[in-house]
Amino acid sequence: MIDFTEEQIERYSRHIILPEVGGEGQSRLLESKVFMIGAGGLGSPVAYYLAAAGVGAIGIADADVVDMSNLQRQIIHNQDRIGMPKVESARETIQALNPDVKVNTYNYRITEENVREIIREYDLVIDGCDNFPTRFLINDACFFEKKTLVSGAMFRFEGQVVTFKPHADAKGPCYRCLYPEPPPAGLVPSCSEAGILGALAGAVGTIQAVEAIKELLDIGESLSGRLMIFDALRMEWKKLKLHKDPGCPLCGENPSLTELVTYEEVCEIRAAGQ
Amino acid sequence: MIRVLLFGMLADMAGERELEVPGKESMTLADILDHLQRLFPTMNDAMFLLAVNQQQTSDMNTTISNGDEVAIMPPFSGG
Repeated sequence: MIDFTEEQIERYSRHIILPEVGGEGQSRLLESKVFMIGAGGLGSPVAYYLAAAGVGAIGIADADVVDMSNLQRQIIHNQDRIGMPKVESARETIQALNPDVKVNTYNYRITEENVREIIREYDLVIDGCDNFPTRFLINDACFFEKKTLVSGAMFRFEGQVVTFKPHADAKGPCYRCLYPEPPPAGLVPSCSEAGILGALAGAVGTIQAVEAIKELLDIGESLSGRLMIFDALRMEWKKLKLHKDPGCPLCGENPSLTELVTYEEVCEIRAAGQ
Repeated sequence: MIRVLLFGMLADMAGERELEVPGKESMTLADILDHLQRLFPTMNDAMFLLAVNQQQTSDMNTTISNGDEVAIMPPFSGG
Protein backbone atom coordinates (compact mmCIF):
# COMPACT_ATOMS: atom_id res chain seq x y z
CA MET A 1 0.00 0.00 0.00
CA ILE A 2 1.13 3.54 -0.78
CA ASP A 3 2.30 5.77 2.08
CA PHE A 4 -0.11 8.66 1.74
CA THR A 5 1.08 12.20 2.25
CA GLU A 6 -0.96 14.34 4.63
CA GLU A 7 -2.36 16.20 1.66
CA GLN A 8 -3.47 12.93 0.05
CA ILE A 9 -5.18 11.77 3.25
CA GLU A 10 -7.14 15.00 3.25
CA ARG A 11 -7.81 15.03 -0.50
CA TYR A 12 -9.11 11.46 -0.59
CA SER A 13 -10.68 11.40 2.90
CA ARG A 14 -14.23 10.92 1.55
CA HIS A 15 -13.06 7.86 -0.35
CA ILE A 16 -10.91 6.50 2.44
CA ILE A 17 -13.78 6.52 4.95
CA LEU A 18 -15.90 4.37 2.61
CA PRO A 19 -15.42 0.75 3.74
CA GLU A 20 -15.63 -0.37 0.07
CA VAL A 21 -12.70 1.87 -0.84
CA GLY A 22 -10.60 2.53 2.26
CA GLY A 23 -6.89 3.24 2.24
CA GLU A 24 -6.25 0.10 0.27
CA GLY A 25 -8.72 1.02 -2.48
CA GLN A 26 -7.45 4.58 -2.69
CA SER A 27 -3.94 3.24 -2.93
CA ARG A 28 -5.09 0.99 -5.76
CA LEU A 29 -6.61 3.95 -7.62
CA LEU A 30 -3.36 5.89 -7.28
CA GLU A 31 -1.54 2.97 -8.83
CA SER A 32 -4.10 2.48 -11.64
CA LYS A 33 -3.68 3.43 -15.26
CA VAL A 34 -6.67 4.25 -17.45
CA PHE A 35 -6.64 4.92 -21.18
CA MET A 36 -9.39 7.10 -22.66
CA ILE A 37 -10.26 7.43 -26.32
CA GLY A 38 -11.74 10.85 -26.93
CA ALA A 39 -11.41 14.07 -24.94
CA GLY A 40 -14.86 15.20 -26.01
CA GLY A 41 -18.35 15.11 -24.54
CA LEU A 42 -17.93 11.80 -22.72
CA GLY A 43 -14.20 12.08 -22.17
CA SER A 44 -14.62 15.38 -20.31
CA PRO A 45 -16.57 14.11 -17.29
CA VAL A 46 -14.70 10.82 -17.32
CA ALA A 47 -11.32 12.58 -17.15
CA TYR A 48 -12.55 15.00 -14.49
CA TYR A 49 -13.86 12.30 -12.16
CA LEU A 50 -11.00 9.87 -12.67
CA ALA A 51 -8.55 12.69 -11.98
CA ALA A 52 -10.48 13.80 -8.91
CA ALA A 53 -10.54 10.18 -7.71
CA GLY A 54 -6.75 10.05 -7.94
CA VAL A 55 -6.37 7.53 -10.74
CA GLY A 56 -2.58 7.51 -11.00
CA ALA A 57 -2.15 7.71 -14.75
CA ILE A 58 -4.64 8.80 -17.37
CA GLY A 59 -3.81 8.36 -21.04
CA ILE A 60 -5.92 10.47 -23.40
CA ALA A 61 -6.05 10.02 -27.16
CA ASP A 62 -7.65 12.63 -29.40
CA ALA A 63 -6.39 14.09 -32.66
CA ASP A 64 -8.60 17.21 -32.62
CA VAL A 65 -8.16 20.75 -31.39
CA VAL A 66 -10.65 22.60 -29.21
CA ASP A 67 -13.36 24.30 -31.26
CA MET A 68 -16.00 26.80 -30.11
CA SER A 69 -18.76 24.31 -30.97
CA ASN A 70 -17.26 21.80 -28.51
CA LEU A 71 -17.75 24.01 -25.46
CA GLN A 72 -21.52 23.35 -25.24
CA ARG A 73 -20.70 19.92 -23.75
CA GLN A 74 -16.95 19.28 -23.58
CA ILE A 75 -16.49 20.81 -20.16
CA ILE A 76 -12.83 19.89 -19.69
CA HIS A 77 -11.95 22.62 -22.22
CA ASN A 78 -12.65 26.35 -22.10
CA GLN A 79 -12.81 29.40 -24.31
CA ASP A 80 -9.13 30.32 -23.83
CA ARG A 81 -8.09 26.95 -25.24
CA ILE A 82 -9.76 27.24 -28.65
CA GLY A 83 -7.29 25.95 -31.22
CA MET A 84 -5.26 24.02 -28.62
CA PRO A 85 -4.99 20.23 -29.01
CA LYS A 86 -7.75 18.71 -26.89
CA VAL A 87 -5.33 16.37 -25.15
CA GLU A 88 -3.22 19.36 -24.01
CA SER A 89 -6.26 21.23 -22.83
CA ALA A 90 -7.40 18.13 -20.90
CA ARG A 91 -3.94 17.79 -19.38
CA GLU A 92 -4.02 21.39 -18.11
CA THR A 93 -7.44 20.92 -16.52
CA ILE A 94 -6.52 17.62 -14.89
CA GLN A 95 -3.23 18.88 -13.51
CA ALA A 96 -4.89 21.99 -12.09
CA LEU A 97 -7.39 19.70 -10.35
CA ASN A 98 -5.05 17.03 -9.04
CA PRO A 99 -1.25 17.04 -9.37
CA ASP A 100 -1.17 13.38 -8.23
CA VAL A 101 -2.32 12.34 -11.70
CA LYS A 102 0.15 11.68 -14.47
CA VAL A 103 -1.36 12.53 -17.86
CA ASN A 104 -0.11 10.85 -21.02
CA THR A 105 -1.30 12.49 -24.21
CA TYR A 106 -1.73 10.91 -27.64
CA ASN A 107 -2.43 13.72 -30.06
CA TYR A 108 -3.11 11.49 -33.02
CA ARG A 109 -5.61 8.99 -34.34
CA ILE A 110 -5.77 5.56 -32.80
CA THR A 111 -5.21 3.05 -35.57
CA GLU A 112 -4.75 -0.68 -35.97
CA GLU A 113 -0.98 -0.02 -36.06
CA ASN A 114 -0.72 1.72 -32.66
CA VAL A 115 -3.72 0.72 -30.55
CA ARG A 116 -2.58 -2.59 -29.08
CA GLU A 117 0.81 -1.30 -28.04
CA ILE A 118 -0.78 1.72 -26.34
CA ILE A 119 -3.50 -0.06 -24.38
CA ARG A 120 -1.08 -2.76 -23.22
CA GLU A 121 0.32 -0.14 -20.81
CA TYR A 122 -3.04 0.42 -19.12
CA ASP A 123 -5.35 -1.43 -16.72
CA LEU A 124 -8.64 -0.30 -18.22
CA VAL A 125 -9.93 1.46 -21.35
CA ILE A 126 -12.74 4.01 -21.70
CA ASP A 127 -14.42 4.50 -25.05
CA GLY A 128 -15.79 8.00 -25.53
CA CYS A 129 -15.02 8.33 -29.23
CA ASP A 130 -17.40 9.69 -31.84
CA ASN A 131 -17.34 7.16 -34.67
CA PHE A 132 -18.03 3.51 -35.40
CA PRO A 133 -14.67 2.51 -36.95
CA THR A 134 -12.87 3.50 -33.74
CA ARG A 135 -15.48 1.80 -31.56
CA PHE A 136 -14.93 -1.51 -33.37
CA LEU A 137 -11.15 -1.06 -33.36
CA ILE A 138 -11.06 -0.40 -29.60
CA ASN A 139 -13.36 -3.33 -28.87
CA ASP A 140 -11.22 -5.70 -30.88
CA ALA A 141 -7.96 -4.39 -29.43
CA CYS A 142 -9.31 -4.70 -25.87
CA PHE A 143 -10.42 -8.26 -26.61
CA PHE A 144 -7.01 -9.25 -27.94
CA GLU A 145 -5.16 -7.48 -25.10
CA LYS A 146 -7.63 -8.71 -22.43
CA LYS A 147 -8.45 -5.21 -21.20
CA THR A 148 -11.74 -4.20 -19.59
CA LEU A 149 -13.57 -1.66 -21.76
CA VAL A 150 -16.14 0.77 -20.37
CA SER A 151 -18.07 2.00 -23.37
CA GLY A 152 -20.35 5.03 -23.62
CA ALA A 153 -22.18 6.38 -26.65
CA MET A 154 -24.84 8.97 -27.38
CA PHE A 155 -27.46 9.93 -29.93
CA ARG A 156 -29.33 13.25 -29.55
CA PHE A 157 -31.06 12.78 -26.16
CA GLU A 158 -30.17 9.12 -25.58
CA GLY A 159 -27.14 7.39 -24.15
CA GLN A 160 -25.80 3.85 -23.78
CA VAL A 161 -23.30 2.56 -21.22
CA VAL A 162 -21.93 -0.97 -21.03
CA THR A 163 -18.78 -2.74 -19.86
CA PHE A 164 -17.09 -5.37 -21.98
CA LYS A 165 -14.70 -7.84 -20.38
CA PRO A 166 -15.13 -11.21 -22.05
CA HIS A 167 -11.63 -12.17 -20.81
CA ALA A 168 -12.82 -11.99 -17.18
CA ASP A 169 -16.55 -12.72 -17.45
CA ALA A 170 -17.21 -16.06 -19.19
CA LYS A 171 -20.80 -15.05 -19.99
CA GLY A 172 -19.95 -11.45 -20.81
CA PRO A 173 -20.24 -10.21 -24.39
CA CYS A 174 -17.98 -7.98 -26.45
CA TYR A 175 -19.28 -5.10 -28.59
CA ARG A 176 -19.50 -7.41 -31.61
CA CYS A 177 -21.87 -9.74 -29.73
CA LEU A 178 -24.27 -6.77 -29.85
CA TYR A 179 -23.34 -5.46 -33.29
CA PRO A 180 -21.19 -7.77 -35.41
CA GLU A 181 -20.03 -4.97 -37.71
CA PRO A 182 -20.54 -1.24 -38.28
CA PRO A 183 -23.94 -0.19 -39.65
CA PRO A 184 -24.24 0.75 -43.33
CA ALA A 185 -23.38 4.32 -44.29
CA GLY A 186 -26.91 5.58 -44.94
CA LEU A 187 -27.93 4.78 -41.38
CA VAL A 188 -25.26 6.78 -39.60
CA PRO A 189 -26.02 10.43 -39.03
CA SER A 190 -23.25 12.72 -40.24
CA CYS A 191 -21.11 13.56 -37.22
CA SER A 192 -21.50 17.30 -37.44
CA GLU A 193 -25.20 17.11 -38.27
CA ALA A 194 -26.12 14.95 -35.30
CA GLY A 195 -27.17 17.30 -32.53
CA ILE A 196 -26.62 16.34 -28.94
CA LEU A 197 -27.95 17.66 -25.65
CA GLY A 198 -24.80 18.88 -23.91
CA ALA A 199 -25.66 17.82 -20.38
CA LEU A 200 -26.47 14.30 -21.60
CA ALA A 201 -22.72 13.80 -22.03
CA GLY A 202 -22.31 14.59 -18.33
CA ALA A 203 -24.87 11.96 -17.32
CA VAL A 204 -23.46 9.23 -19.55
CA GLY A 205 -19.77 10.04 -19.00
CA THR A 206 -20.22 10.17 -15.25
CA ILE A 207 -21.72 6.67 -15.26
CA GLN A 208 -18.68 5.53 -17.25
CA ALA A 209 -16.40 7.05 -14.60
CA VAL A 210 -18.35 5.30 -11.83
CA GLU A 211 -18.10 1.95 -13.61
CA ALA A 212 -14.39 2.43 -14.33
CA ILE A 213 -13.67 3.14 -10.65
CA LYS A 214 -15.74 0.08 -9.61
CA GLU A 215 -13.80 -2.09 -12.05
CA LEU A 216 -10.46 -0.76 -10.79
CA LEU A 217 -11.48 -1.40 -7.19
CA ASP A 218 -13.27 -4.64 -8.01
CA ILE A 219 -16.34 -3.63 -6.02
CA GLY A 220 -20.09 -3.84 -6.59
CA GLU A 221 -21.74 -5.34 -9.64
CA SER A 222 -20.01 -4.96 -12.95
CA LEU A 223 -21.86 -3.57 -15.95
CA SER A 224 -20.53 -6.46 -18.00
CA GLY A 225 -23.51 -8.13 -19.66
CA ARG A 226 -25.91 -5.26 -19.03
CA LEU A 227 -26.63 -2.39 -21.41
CA MET A 228 -27.87 0.73 -19.65
CA ILE A 229 -29.92 3.01 -21.88
CA PHE A 230 -30.70 6.57 -20.81
CA ASP A 231 -33.47 8.62 -22.35
CA ALA A 232 -33.01 12.20 -21.19
CA LEU A 233 -36.25 13.52 -22.69
CA ARG A 234 -38.34 10.98 -20.81
CA MET A 235 -35.90 10.77 -17.89
CA GLU A 236 -35.85 7.00 -18.04
CA TRP A 237 -33.14 4.40 -17.59
CA LYS A 238 -33.70 1.03 -19.20
CA LYS A 239 -31.57 -2.04 -18.79
CA LEU A 240 -31.12 -4.87 -21.27
CA LYS A 241 -29.49 -8.11 -20.23
CA LEU A 242 -26.87 -9.08 -22.79
CA HIS A 243 -25.21 -12.38 -23.53
CA LYS A 244 -22.10 -13.61 -25.19
CA ASP A 245 -22.96 -14.64 -28.77
CA PRO A 246 -21.46 -18.05 -29.58
CA GLY A 247 -21.49 -16.91 -33.24
CA CYS A 248 -19.62 -13.65 -32.48
CA PRO A 249 -16.97 -13.05 -35.18
CA LEU A 250 -14.51 -11.97 -32.48
CA CYS A 251 -15.16 -13.73 -29.16
CA GLY A 252 -17.42 -16.57 -30.39
CA GLU A 253 -16.69 -20.25 -30.73
CA ASN A 254 -15.34 -20.04 -34.29
CA PRO A 255 -14.05 -16.49 -34.65
CA SER A 256 -13.46 -15.16 -38.15
CA LEU A 257 -11.54 -12.15 -36.83
CA THR A 258 -8.08 -13.03 -35.62
CA GLU A 259 -6.47 -9.64 -36.11
CA LEU A 260 -7.48 -5.98 -36.13
CA VAL A 261 -9.46 -4.61 -39.05
CA THR A 262 -10.02 -0.98 -40.01
CA TYR A 263 -13.38 0.28 -41.25
CA GLU A 264 -13.79 3.44 -43.25
CA GLU A 265 -15.06 6.52 -41.50
CA VAL A 266 -18.59 7.01 -42.81
CA CYS A 267 -18.76 10.71 -41.93
CA GLU A 268 -15.58 11.45 -43.82
CA ILE A 269 -16.90 9.67 -46.90
CA ARG A 270 -20.06 11.65 -46.72
CA ALA A 271 -18.22 14.92 -46.21
CA ALA A 272 -15.98 14.18 -49.19
CA GLY A 273 -19.00 13.47 -51.36
CA GLN A 274 -20.78 16.68 -50.47
CA MET B 1 -50.77 -6.61 -27.29
CA ILE B 2 -47.03 -6.75 -27.76
CA ARG B 3 -45.12 -3.65 -26.77
CA VAL B 4 -42.35 -2.68 -29.16
CA LEU B 5 -39.74 -0.15 -28.03
CA LEU B 6 -37.63 1.70 -30.59
CA PHE B 7 -34.49 3.72 -29.83
CA GLY B 8 -32.18 6.20 -31.51
CA MET B 9 -32.43 6.48 -35.29
CA LEU B 10 -35.03 3.71 -35.42
CA ALA B 11 -37.40 5.79 -33.31
CA ASP B 12 -36.72 8.75 -35.61
CA MET B 13 -37.39 6.64 -38.71
CA ALA B 14 -40.63 5.31 -37.30
CA GLY B 15 -41.68 8.62 -35.78
CA GLU B 16 -42.61 6.64 -32.67
CA ARG B 17 -40.71 5.32 -29.69
CA GLU B 18 -43.31 2.83 -28.66
CA LEU B 19 -45.72 0.74 -30.71
CA GLU B 20 -48.28 -1.89 -29.96
CA VAL B 21 -48.54 -4.94 -32.19
CA PRO B 22 -51.56 -7.25 -31.83
CA GLY B 23 -50.44 -10.69 -30.61
CA LYS B 24 -51.34 -13.72 -32.75
CA GLU B 25 -51.16 -17.48 -32.25
CA SER B 26 -47.58 -18.86 -32.40
CA MET B 27 -46.04 -15.52 -33.26
CA THR B 28 -42.25 -15.27 -33.41
CA LEU B 29 -39.72 -12.48 -33.22
CA ALA B 30 -39.31 -12.81 -37.01
CA ASP B 31 -43.04 -12.06 -37.43
CA ILE B 32 -42.74 -8.92 -35.33
CA LEU B 33 -39.80 -7.70 -37.40
CA ASP B 34 -41.64 -8.47 -40.66
CA HIS B 35 -44.58 -6.46 -39.40
CA LEU B 36 -42.35 -3.50 -38.47
CA GLN B 37 -40.39 -3.62 -41.70
CA ARG B 38 -43.62 -3.46 -43.68
CA LEU B 39 -44.64 -0.40 -41.68
CA PHE B 40 -41.18 1.21 -41.88
CA PRO B 41 -39.34 -0.07 -44.97
CA THR B 42 -36.16 1.89 -44.10
CA MET B 43 -35.71 -0.48 -41.16
CA ASN B 44 -34.70 -3.21 -43.62
CA ASP B 45 -31.14 -1.91 -43.84
CA ALA B 46 -30.78 -0.98 -40.20
CA MET B 47 -28.54 -2.72 -37.73
CA PHE B 48 -29.84 -3.34 -34.24
CA LEU B 49 -29.83 -5.67 -31.31
CA LEU B 50 -33.05 -7.29 -30.18
CA ALA B 51 -34.25 -7.92 -26.67
CA VAL B 52 -37.38 -9.73 -25.56
CA ASN B 53 -38.51 -8.82 -22.07
CA GLN B 54 -35.22 -6.96 -21.49
CA GLN B 55 -33.14 -9.99 -22.49
CA GLN B 56 -30.99 -9.88 -25.62
CA THR B 57 -31.76 -12.56 -28.19
CA SER B 58 -30.68 -13.28 -31.73
CA ASP B 59 -33.06 -16.22 -32.11
CA MET B 60 -35.70 -15.12 -34.61
CA ASN B 61 -37.83 -18.14 -33.68
CA THR B 62 -38.34 -16.84 -30.14
CA THR B 63 -42.06 -17.07 -29.42
CA ILE B 64 -43.71 -13.73 -28.70
CA SER B 65 -46.94 -13.60 -26.74
CA ASN B 66 -49.35 -10.91 -25.60
CA GLY B 67 -47.77 -8.84 -22.85
CA ASP B 68 -44.21 -9.33 -24.09
CA GLU B 69 -41.90 -6.38 -24.68
CA VAL B 70 -39.60 -6.30 -27.69
CA ALA B 71 -36.79 -3.71 -27.65
CA ILE B 72 -34.98 -2.79 -30.87
CA MET B 73 -31.73 -0.99 -30.16
CA PRO B 74 -29.42 0.45 -32.82
CA PRO B 75 -25.80 1.26 -31.98
CA PHE B 76 -24.96 4.87 -31.08
CA SER B 77 -21.69 6.45 -32.10
CA GLY B 78 -21.68 9.89 -30.52
CA GLY B 79 -19.13 10.72 -27.90
